[in-house]
Amino acid sequence: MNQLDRRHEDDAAFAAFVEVAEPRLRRALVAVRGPDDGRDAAAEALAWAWQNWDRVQALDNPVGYLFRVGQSRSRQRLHGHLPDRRPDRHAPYVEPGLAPALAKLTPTQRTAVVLHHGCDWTYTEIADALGITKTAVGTHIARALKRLRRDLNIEVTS
Amino acid sequence: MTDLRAVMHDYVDQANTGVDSISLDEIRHLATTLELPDRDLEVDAPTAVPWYRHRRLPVAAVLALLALTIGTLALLSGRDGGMADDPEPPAPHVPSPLDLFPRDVEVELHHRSEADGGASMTTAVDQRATVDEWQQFLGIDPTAVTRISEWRPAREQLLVAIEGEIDPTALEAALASDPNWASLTTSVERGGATVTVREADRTEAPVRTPFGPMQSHAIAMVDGTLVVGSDAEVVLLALDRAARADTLGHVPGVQTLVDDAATLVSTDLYAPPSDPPLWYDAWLIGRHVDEPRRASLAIRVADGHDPGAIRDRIDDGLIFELLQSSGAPAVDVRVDGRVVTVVATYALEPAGPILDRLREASLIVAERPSDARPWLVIALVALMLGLAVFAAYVDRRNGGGRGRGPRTSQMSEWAAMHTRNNSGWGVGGYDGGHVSATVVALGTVALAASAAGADRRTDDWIWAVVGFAVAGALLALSRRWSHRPPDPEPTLDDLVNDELKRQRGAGGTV
Repeated sequence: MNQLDRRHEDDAAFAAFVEVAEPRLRRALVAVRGPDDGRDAAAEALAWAWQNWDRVQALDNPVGYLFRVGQSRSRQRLHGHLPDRRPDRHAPYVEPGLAPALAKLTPTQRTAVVLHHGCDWTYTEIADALGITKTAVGTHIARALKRLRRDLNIEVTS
Repeated sequence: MTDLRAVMHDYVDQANTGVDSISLDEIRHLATTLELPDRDLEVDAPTAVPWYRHRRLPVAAVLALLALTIGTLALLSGRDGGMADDPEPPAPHVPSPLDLFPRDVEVELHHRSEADGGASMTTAVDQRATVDEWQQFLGIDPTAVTRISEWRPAREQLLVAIEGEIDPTALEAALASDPNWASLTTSVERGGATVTVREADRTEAPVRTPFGPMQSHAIAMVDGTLVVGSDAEVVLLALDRAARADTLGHVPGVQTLVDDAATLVSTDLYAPPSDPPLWYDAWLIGRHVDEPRRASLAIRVADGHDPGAIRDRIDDGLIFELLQSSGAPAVDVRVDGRVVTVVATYALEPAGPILDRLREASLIVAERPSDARPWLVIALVALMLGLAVFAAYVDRRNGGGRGRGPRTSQMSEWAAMHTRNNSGWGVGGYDGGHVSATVVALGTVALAASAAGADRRTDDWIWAVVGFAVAGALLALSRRWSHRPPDPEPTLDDLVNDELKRQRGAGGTV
């Protein structure tokens, strides 16, 4: 296989990867970092993945890793602030007390609970993305749910 | 009730409303226009580790060390004094004319009369005794008398102690020249004092004295106090009481004997032949002679010593000693709280010698603590080592010593987690905080154990328990609060290579 063939193969593989990973990555980063910064972070993370495709494609959980890359890029602009959510009349209704309740959580708790319950990420994916253990993920989510339950009177279903 | 998962989905959907997807072309364009070196992905440590997490462990360590220092100083001060925890010890016994009288009787006190300018000294018996009568009877000037103590043990029995400026020569002259008592005068020696017993002629009426009419009486001088009794027996018993009180008076309590702990009599007396002498802290707080052959002695055992051990010691030593003497004593040693009471009853001997032996029994004085300096040195070295390790740990956390800035990397944490690089001393393992806490704990335990083993003081065991508790708390806190520092901090290339190696096995390359 010559170099050109390999390049084409990589392009095809990366395109397939983006097709699957982009929605998940963007959805998660936008949820955590806001529409503008989250999208930019996701784009930069995917760009970095393209630059380092040989490495990324060998990872078990590339989306989690890219989430971490994107979060790192985003954190250079936003240090722990909740995204500015502009009301959109086309957007779905959201429990009005949720954002203030999420703001009370620690950044790790907030990210973990949003990724798990809002983006349907598994504990393993979240653990990889946050660089913590699965047990720690469970602990953060449990504590987050406890506080949310207390603040919102929300029924928690697992 | 609202379902949280639905609410969270709505929340994420709302956040993504209006956000366009990222096209492949946009990604490629971005990759060509943006330079994304690996190191740009590192984040600064302060965002990863809150500032207070850097301070909790040092504060906890400082508090723990402060507690250890205070405890150590308290422990050592208790050793030096030997009786640091005990309040005011009993005052030493001061010899007094009242020693002539039994402790539980009522003694009537008379002072020089001010009504007649001190010309007369009134007594309960005869308030009209003149100066001449005093001079003739005892050769003393009543104006020089400061106090008269008077006790009537029975009808027609009298015991008087006269204090003041009494000239022994004048007394002897009066005793020799008083014509009323020339018929029968004898002398009895008792305890170094001479008791002059005088009797009047029985055929005549009792002789008038400052203490009333008397047919006979006994007179003695004891420590500058003139003792006058209605008969010889009363005076002799008074002399015995004074002698015992005087003897005990020179034992002002065991406390002052600490410096003379090597007193042979106490060592020989209370060390059973098979045991080495042991010394304890105790105060002599009571001594009584229950006439005629029963005596008791009470000591209060200082905090830190076991009253039960002292009771056993007295049982062994005192009974052993007393059995060597005549009289077949019965000794009962009781413990009531920290007070040990010894009651001895002789079948034959008078109580005086019993009390002397009991007094000697009280010479169980301060145990000389063995030299705990080696242990102390070990403990201090352990503490210093703990501090050193802790300082190195803090230094490493702050990036010192390796030329790196105070940075950590979430990437490195991520990589460390994936590469399972937990060697026990690095990330997620047994770090410097635990080591320092362990060393401090060992130092505390060594110090407490040395103190406890040195002289078997009960409170030292309490300190040992406190040491264990402090050490355990410190360990728990250090484990809870210590942050896992990534070490060394790899580059992104290193991280990804490590991950690939882990996935592909050894020898994998990128």
